[in-house]
Amino acid sequence: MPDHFATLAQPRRPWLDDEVLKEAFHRATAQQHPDVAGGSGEQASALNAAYAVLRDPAARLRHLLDLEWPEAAPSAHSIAPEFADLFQKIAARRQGSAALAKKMATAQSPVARALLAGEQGEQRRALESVLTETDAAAASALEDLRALDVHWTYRDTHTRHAVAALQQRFAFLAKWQAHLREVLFQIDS
Amino acid sequence: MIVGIDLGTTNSLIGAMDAGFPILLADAEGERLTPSVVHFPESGGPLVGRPASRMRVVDPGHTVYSIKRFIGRRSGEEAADVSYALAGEKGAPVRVQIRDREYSPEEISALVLQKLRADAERALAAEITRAVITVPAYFNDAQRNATKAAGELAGFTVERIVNEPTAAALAYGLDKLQDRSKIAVFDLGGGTFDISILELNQGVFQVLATNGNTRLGGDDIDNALIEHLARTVADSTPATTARLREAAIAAKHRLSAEESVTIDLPFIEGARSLSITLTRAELESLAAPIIERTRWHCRRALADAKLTPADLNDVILVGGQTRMPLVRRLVAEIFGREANTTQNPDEAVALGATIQAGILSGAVQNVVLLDITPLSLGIETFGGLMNVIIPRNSTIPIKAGEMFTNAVAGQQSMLIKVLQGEREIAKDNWPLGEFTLDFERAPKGQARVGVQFEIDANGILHVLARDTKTGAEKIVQVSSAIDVSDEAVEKMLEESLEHAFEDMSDRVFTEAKLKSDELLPAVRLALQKVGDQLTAEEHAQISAATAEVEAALAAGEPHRLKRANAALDEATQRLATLLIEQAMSAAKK
Repeated sequence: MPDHFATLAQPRRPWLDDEVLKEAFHRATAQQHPDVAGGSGEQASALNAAYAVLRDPAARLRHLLDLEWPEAAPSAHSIAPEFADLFQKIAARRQGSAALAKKMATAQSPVARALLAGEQGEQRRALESVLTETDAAAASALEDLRALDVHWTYRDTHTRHAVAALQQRFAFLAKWQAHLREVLFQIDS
Repeated sequence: MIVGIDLGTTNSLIGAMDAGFPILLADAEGERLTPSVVHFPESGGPLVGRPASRMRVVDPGHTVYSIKRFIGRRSGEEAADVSYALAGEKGAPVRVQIRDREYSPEEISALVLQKLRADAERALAAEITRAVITVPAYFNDAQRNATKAAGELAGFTVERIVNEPTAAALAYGLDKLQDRSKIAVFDLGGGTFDISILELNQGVFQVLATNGNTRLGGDDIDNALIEHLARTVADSTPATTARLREAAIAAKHRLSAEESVTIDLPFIEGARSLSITLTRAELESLAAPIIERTRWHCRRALADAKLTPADLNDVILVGGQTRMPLVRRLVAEIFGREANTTQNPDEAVALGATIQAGILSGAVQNVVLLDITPLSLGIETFGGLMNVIIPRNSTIPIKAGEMFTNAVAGQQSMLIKVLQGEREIAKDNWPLGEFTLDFERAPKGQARVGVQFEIDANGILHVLARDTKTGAEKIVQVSSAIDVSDEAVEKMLEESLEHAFEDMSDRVFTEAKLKSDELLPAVRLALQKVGDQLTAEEHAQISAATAEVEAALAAGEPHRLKRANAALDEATQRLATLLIEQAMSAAKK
């Protein structure tokens, strides 16, 4: 397994600054891309793979767990209890917006589409409100990640469980954010 | 020395680096724009460029234009609404029929490229053998490979295939290398539309998202206008259509600056002459539905880049069709700002290709282009779904591995179908090609072959297979979808099925029976759920296949039972697809 942290010369830690990481990726690419002397497709693919993993908190933590505790069994995946409420809301929105998208798909004439505009606006506002809540949950997960990072030097089994739990939170949140954004895109099309 | 080439639907250009600056090279007449047109006279060699373009009206049947629409395409995929004859059966690669000879789109494009090459050699007084060629960002693997082949036919070593909007971004950003900014490139050419979102960071040009339509461009507006004008002609012949086309294009160009034009067509039908007045508003009402189609792609690209129009610093217009005021108004509306028109819409792509040539030759330093793959790459799974292996908008070059195991004991090979596209149902995507994996003889699930899919910096796919037992690696030839006839595909499929069922033992019967026991009730249930959507013929096929499985079970013949199971799997493929569709629509409810 490649060490993506090493590939981009980043510290092997839970928290990485987005801008710092992007700079590191761009600088490394400027030297190792196949277009420049001394670069190669091999090196560039490795950089691209590393950046794709490290920039995504869920993928980064998964990778960190694999590197730090290779022997540990993967934790079971379930919705974290603090998300139950948010998940309910997302599921409800999902139903409402899917029904609307279906109506919009059949409404081809401008008049029929215009008749749906009210519902469209309502749905959009409701979706945006849930998305804001999801984004806030992601921001709070990032804060927890920072807090975890502070004590990283003294990591133990508890740290591993905390990383695994955070990994799950990020994985769920990223999935929901992507889903909500996609639905918002679709009801506006 | 490496040259940069914009091989356009309508016009092509060639450039070279000169003292650190990209310059475009003119032909003997001092023209930098070469019409991508080839004329085949009755005798003598083909004419290319301007002289060929002049023959479009005189001899439309032997004058080939807009060949880029057909490169890397199969017959039937693209409307054959051109004045020259197309050959090739439906599903086979498109060919152009000129008198008694067929030409591939690659050969026609190579003639244009050879002309550019000769012009460049004269201008630079040097032999030119290396080139960077641009393609629409939304070109798929087959179209990229075909473009590369055209370059090679013209005697070039193709050092890089570059995406047109990305090249245009290079031309825009070359004098802004210290900047950090985010830009959109809106590229509407003669035949294709691309939208790319990029981040410029101190010489690194990183493409964040791209979208587009390889069948949307100025040609569509020309055709709508020709159709409009043709209503005034009693009956259109190839000759009248060719004249209408010339007149339509000229009128379209003039209406970008003028409010109204008069189209004069003397003696269009024998003694009859035509004089038609066309206003900009009339042209816009014809063009609006076509231009409007770019909106969705722009929104998709922004959403994929996780940006809003306000996050952008600039929107660059490229491609001749962006001269149209209607296009500029729509772009301003979509992006909430006036577009940047500092780039020459005809030349920016060629200049960018030249800069990329300079990067590769070392003439341009401290600039690097990080492009992405526009389409998701995947393989077809059992049940006819697309399994994405490399998602769209992944930075290239990129590698992704996938492990395949034998589904039954003794299976010697497996047919893998490679797809490009964004649809969940496999058949809705573009078939890139297929390859056969060879397995060692082993019990079920024991033979394993790892396959590595690599998309290189040209956006072109390479496949490498590795036997996990022996560690032997080999490059897999993916037979391009347009190189393989359907019979060949059928044959490969049959062979892979035959190989899969060669094993004869008691265990084979037990395994086959397990499969039948699972399959028969599943088919019954599926028929209850979605059977009403099948045709009578499909019902008959399934009934026959089911009866054969039952008969083989009763007879206790292992070989026959395996075949019967496979046949029932085959016969119920559409049933499976229908179920998946139903499940997908249920999930949306």
